[in-house]
Amino acid sequence: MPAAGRRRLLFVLGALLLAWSGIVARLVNLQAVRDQEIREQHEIAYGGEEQLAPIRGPIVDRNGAVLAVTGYDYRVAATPGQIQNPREVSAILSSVLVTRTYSLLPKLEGPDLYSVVAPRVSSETARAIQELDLPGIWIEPVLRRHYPQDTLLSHVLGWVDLDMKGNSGLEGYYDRELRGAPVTVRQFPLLFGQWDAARPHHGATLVLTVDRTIQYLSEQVLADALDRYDAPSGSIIVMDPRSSGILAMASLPAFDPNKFYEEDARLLVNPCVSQWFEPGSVHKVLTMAAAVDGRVVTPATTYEDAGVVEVGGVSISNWDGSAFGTTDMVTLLAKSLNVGAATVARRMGRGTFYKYMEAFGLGEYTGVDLEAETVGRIRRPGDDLWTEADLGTNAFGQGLAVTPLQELVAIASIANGGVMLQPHLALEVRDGDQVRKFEPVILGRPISEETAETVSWMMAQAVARELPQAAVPGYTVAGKTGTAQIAEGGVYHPSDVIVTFVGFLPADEPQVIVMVKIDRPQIATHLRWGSTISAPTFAELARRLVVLLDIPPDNERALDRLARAQ
Amino acid sequence: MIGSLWRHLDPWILTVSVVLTIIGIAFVNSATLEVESLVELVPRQTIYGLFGLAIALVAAGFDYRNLMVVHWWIYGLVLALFFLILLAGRLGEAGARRWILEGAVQPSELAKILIIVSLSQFLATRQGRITRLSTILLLLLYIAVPAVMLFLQPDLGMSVELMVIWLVMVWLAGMRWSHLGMFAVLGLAAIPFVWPFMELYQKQRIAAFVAPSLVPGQEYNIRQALTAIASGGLLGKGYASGSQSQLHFLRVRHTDFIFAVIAEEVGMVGALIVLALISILIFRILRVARISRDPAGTYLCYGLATLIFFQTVVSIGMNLQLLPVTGLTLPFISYGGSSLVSLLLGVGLVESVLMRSQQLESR
Repeated sequence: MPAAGRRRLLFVLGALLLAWSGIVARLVNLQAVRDQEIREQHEIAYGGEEQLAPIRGPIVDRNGAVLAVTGYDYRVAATPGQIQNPREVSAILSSVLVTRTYSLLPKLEGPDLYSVVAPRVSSETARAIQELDLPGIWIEPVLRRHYPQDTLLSHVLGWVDLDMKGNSGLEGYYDRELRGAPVTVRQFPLLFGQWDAARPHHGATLVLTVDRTIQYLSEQVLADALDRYDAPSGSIIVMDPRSSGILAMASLPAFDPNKFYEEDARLLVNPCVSQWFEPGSVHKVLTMAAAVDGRVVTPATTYEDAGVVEVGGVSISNWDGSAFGTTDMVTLLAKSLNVGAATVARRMGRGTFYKYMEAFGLGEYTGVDLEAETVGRIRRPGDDLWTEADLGTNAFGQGLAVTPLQELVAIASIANGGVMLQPHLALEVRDGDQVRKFEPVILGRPISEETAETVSWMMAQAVARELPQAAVPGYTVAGKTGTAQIAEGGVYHPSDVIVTFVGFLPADEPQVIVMVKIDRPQIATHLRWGSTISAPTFAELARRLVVLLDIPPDNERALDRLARAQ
Repeated sequence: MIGSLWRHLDPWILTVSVVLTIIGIAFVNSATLEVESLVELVPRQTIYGLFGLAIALVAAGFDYRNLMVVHWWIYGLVLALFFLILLAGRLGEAGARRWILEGAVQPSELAKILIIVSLSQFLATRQGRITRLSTILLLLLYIAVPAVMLFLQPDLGMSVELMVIWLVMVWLAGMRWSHLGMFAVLGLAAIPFVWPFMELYQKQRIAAFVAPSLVPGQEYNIRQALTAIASGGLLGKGYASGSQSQLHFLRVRHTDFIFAVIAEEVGMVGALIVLALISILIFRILRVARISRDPAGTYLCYGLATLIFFQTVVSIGMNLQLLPVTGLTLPFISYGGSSLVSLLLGVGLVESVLMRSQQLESR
């Protein structure tokens, strides 16, 4: 080895030492001196924390049929800093996304580390973009609520906004349960494994009391009725009076919760719980129940019907203006006599009447598990605007407002032996292994069991005598029609009415109660009655309900009873 | 006879090379965890390592002087290889035409070792005339041809690497200070002429180093690497659990940014251990250079030591944002079969130099 080489080798070694010290100095500087500062800068630039979103739980009917489920849309995002040629990329993307190049370009240029190119695209579009394999362009899944049954049960289900927050209906009421809990993960875990351990708590499954088939049938029957009677809207509620579990809650026109943002905002309201109306004559059964329970009348009690009666200075007359002479209570219900109802209310006196109205929950929330329930309006003695005349009109369902569900729940207490239960749609909430079952909640006992039986019998008698349109072959139906005038701006509309029917069967052992409400039918004025429109609609539905619900006909039940007595 | 030959093998050089290779496989594994398209890399790198080890042993047993005899052929082979790449090479990842055989082999890695071998002999035969300018200019021409071909591929990093190896070898062979000074001036003067011939990405990388905020794409990688290293701290986050590298913020992490992965996961201590191992290797190779009686063997050792040193400094320097981004690999550790096998071949040749030299001594 040449001598010069040995000396020069020292220079090379010196260079090596210099380079090594540079590296070590830099490592110390980065890892021990400036580490905190660099991390913080990074957290500011890239977001120090990330939330892992939970998957919103599904909603299923009582048999497990899926009514709402969570799927995915896709977000197209970009890291502009990694895009070499934004013009070219924006041209390619604009052809796939069907937008204009110049609207995309600003999102692809500049030093930013993240920008959203398209907030929501379908899986097909996302796949097409992914296959382009453009550097700096990312596809990220975003959660989306999907309603496979489209408009079915839409008012009850409600909808979920684009941030996956539940709005209105069950989605709103059970948002906390369905939503689940996100988990926040830091980009700089202190301990190894923190990332893997962090999992969001996915949303619970909501099982409904609703039966999809009954719901579908109710919507079909309602749609046919609206068509046949030329009505713009209507509702049907089907409920099991023994538990107040709602089997169907149909309102038309409905909306598509998949595209709630395209719908008229007025359609998004659930008419069964969020709108009120004057119930009209169906309310007479509550007046009668109050009178019977208060021992003011018996079914055989009579009054003298002169065709008109004056209460608090206001004249009340019957629907056809005629006088019926000596009339018993069953006939009063059967012929739906306003004069009779007012007379009975006056005999009861305001104290007794309003005590019972309060017991039936009028003017109170039912507490149904739906978002945005509204409360009706009833003036009571002592309120500023209450007059003696209200006692007379309230007796046959005028001058007070209720939601359809509220009226149904009150009448259902008659079908349930005098016990009024809280209506509900949730059967159970399944959260992982935990199952929370909803037991019926008693709202009150407005009338005795005996009164309930008596009034049920009276209602059955009324249907049997005067209302063949509501008949269901093989079953005894208890029911009451209503034809309510519509108050608009302080006066009643001259011709438009809301026709209703509330009925339950079998009258002696009720297993299902139905409310049919048709708004403003436009057929000939003389045919706009509860008896001509809502009663036959009820019958049409009930004939099929007894099959679907497997309710044995009266003669079979009679045979069973006899067999059991043996 | 054979036994006495192997007795002289330097266990340090071979052992440290193998240890560095194993560390490399381990961190390529960590850097490619849960990346479906990259799962094959670990078994592949393992096979390359085993193959390279076999090559090293064969090269050690082989008398390197047989190669010196055919040094012109080797030189010619390298030039032919580079010419082929320029003519028909396929486009590589960064637009560089440096891959052949369907991109499976990167011949420049092997070419570097071969040029060191041929240059060693070329230099050895001209050792006596090294102080003459004509000799220096001849030597310059000798290296300029492959270096320019590399630059045209285009592979600026490797072209610069070749020139640095040449300079160190010629300098240690006894080049005059005045000639060195002349080269320094010439080199600086050449920059304005070379710049227009450079590819856009090469200019960008240099620009990104000088003024990172001007070239955001490059800034991204460098900032991610810096954050990874900084968050490693003294002892790191633990093997296979660096959030920067695991969460794939760090791109090309199994090749260019493997040092950042190491610094993040095993911290400063781990990074310094890697640096220490490479230092041991370089010192042991330089020891062989000192022991060797054959000038060609000495220059071969200088060449390989310089190669390992230069690549280490450039790769780590790039990770630490001390130097501009190049595609140079961290010796033995970065993923890449051609690089690993070529380095192990070089290690085998150094062992061969040592063993022949000791054999002469003991005779």
